[in-house]
Amino acid sequence: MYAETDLLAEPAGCATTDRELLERSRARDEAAFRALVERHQDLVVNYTARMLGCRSRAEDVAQETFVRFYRHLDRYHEQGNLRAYLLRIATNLVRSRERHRRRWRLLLPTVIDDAARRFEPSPQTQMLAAEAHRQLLDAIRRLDLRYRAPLVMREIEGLAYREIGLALGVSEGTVKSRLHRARALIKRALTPYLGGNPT
Amino acid sequence: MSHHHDTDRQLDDLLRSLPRIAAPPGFAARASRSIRTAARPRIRLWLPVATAAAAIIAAILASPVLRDPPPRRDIAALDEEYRRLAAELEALETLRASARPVVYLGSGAQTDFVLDLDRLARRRPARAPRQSPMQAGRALPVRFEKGDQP
Repeated sequence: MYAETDLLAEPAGCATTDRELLERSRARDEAAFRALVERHQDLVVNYTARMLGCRSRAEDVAQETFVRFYRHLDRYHEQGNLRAYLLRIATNLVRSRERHRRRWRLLLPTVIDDAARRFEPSPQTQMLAAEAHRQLLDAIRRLDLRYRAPLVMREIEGLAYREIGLALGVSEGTVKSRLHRARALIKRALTPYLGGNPT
Repeated sequence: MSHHHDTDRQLDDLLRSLPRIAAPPGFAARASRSIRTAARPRIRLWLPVATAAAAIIAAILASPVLRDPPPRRDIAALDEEYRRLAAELEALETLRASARPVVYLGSGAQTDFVLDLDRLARRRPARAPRQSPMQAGRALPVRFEKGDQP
């Protein structure tokens, strides 16, 4: 999103770059950090919402993502990878949340709200857009995290393979492999809606 | 192959058509607030801990264990109890001194048999007899009715 030239000083009146906002944020400029949050909040909220399948939890995780980012501002060196860095933090938080929920689910299986169980598959019904989206989101949410993350980053957020690799700490080859697997699993889950035999 | 291509395309269309979820209004402001709150715990954290510690110390100091010496009426009550116990002890000592030395031998239906050692000692001759005391008839049982004091 930000090319290398964007990182140079801009004339007055032009949008502030991420690097400038980061520098000012490190100097405890609250307004600068808020501007940084506003610039990337939709990305993080949408990503966590698709990963968790629950909007309220997604907003909590997104908030926590930015809080953690702020706490460790000195660790990040701006090289045009801020999106990947933010999504990395968000992915780690999602992972922690899911581990926590799995533990509670073992203890209280009837109490934990599982959004997936709200929607019953209905192959007989016509495939309306809303129903299709629900089934797709359900299928995405059921994926293992290592497949879900690259799928959401690539197919929904549009990140490049390189960025996804940085976010997940894996090679581009691994990203492509996991992405291929994720798509195969999603297609299998949506077979009745994709009109045919499972791949 | 064509079928796979079709399903891939359908999946792509489906994924791209997902509505984007935007951050709610005030999200950035809340994040800033969270950061400010998160920056404070190092200062605030000690406050409730110190408060709790102070409350515990105050409770210990206020407890009876560390209270001032008991009021005078408690001391008077203690004195009274001491005198009563001392009197009871003295009575027991007198009783012990005055009690006749007896050995309990057994009891019948309505009678307890005891051996009065005191009487036995008074009636015993200076020289030891050749016969046993029982044979000489000197061990005289003292009859008591049930309930009598020795």
